[in-house]
Amino acid sequence: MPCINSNGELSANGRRILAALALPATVEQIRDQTELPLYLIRSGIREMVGAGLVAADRGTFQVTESGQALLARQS
Amino acid sequence: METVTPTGFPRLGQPAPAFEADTTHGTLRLEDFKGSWLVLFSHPADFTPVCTTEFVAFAELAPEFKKRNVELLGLSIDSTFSHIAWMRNIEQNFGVKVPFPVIADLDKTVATLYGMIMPGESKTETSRCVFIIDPNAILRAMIYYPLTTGRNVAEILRVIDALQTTDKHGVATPANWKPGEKVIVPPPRTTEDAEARMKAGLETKDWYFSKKAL
Repeated sequence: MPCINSNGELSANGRRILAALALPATVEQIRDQTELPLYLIRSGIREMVGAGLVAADRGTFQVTESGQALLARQS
Repeated sequence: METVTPTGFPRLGQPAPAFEADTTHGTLRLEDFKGSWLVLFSHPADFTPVCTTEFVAFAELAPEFKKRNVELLGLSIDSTFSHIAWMRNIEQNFGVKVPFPVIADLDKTVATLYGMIMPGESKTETSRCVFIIDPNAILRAMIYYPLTTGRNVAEILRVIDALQTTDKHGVATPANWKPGEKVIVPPPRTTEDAEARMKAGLETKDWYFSKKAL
């Protein structure tokens, strides 16, 4: 499912993925934490990297300040 | 005389054609499924009876696919809105929630890449095609059914079991094999191995035909 809805808010999956990215993590580590399927994690991360909510670095991902702020607003 | 435009077909043992597509779970790429097995299957159209029975059958067996690290991905030449409405209709009428994504292939990009359109049957609908893709994105099995014949989803699961058994144990599986039954030991490639095979303690009918339990 998309991680960001048409109102710019995080979906439930988006919140789960972002919450798992407080520390840098690979998609496999995110899967272990969230129990979401790999395809949803990869597509969700792609979407959130594009939106500036997640930063990518050599196969690991971490929530950005913007991502943290959006997550905090919706928690 | 009618002109037939040849369409490419994917080949077993080769990388599955890459794609990016709109689905009921957002935009997905083939590469998103890396690390999982994938059953990519097409149906002719939403809100049609045979396809509805198939989706109910796939949804009911989805937990069994999940146990085997298999993701399901449907496809038809319909819009995302049509797919969403149909999924909701299936849940209302049959009490089954469809847990997997469905590609909205309105421009036929994925259908064409995978040779899912059989012009002899329909130029505007995909036939009932099944592509089994392994965790390294290699195409491992293809099954084609005509528009009028609903698929046997248990058979697709059986093929997955056979492929995973082959990968794990380096064996083949005989006709009508089911998990738990004896498997085929690959035939010997040399005369020396053929002689040794007869004394190997396997269930051997002849030098080329041996079975064993796993």
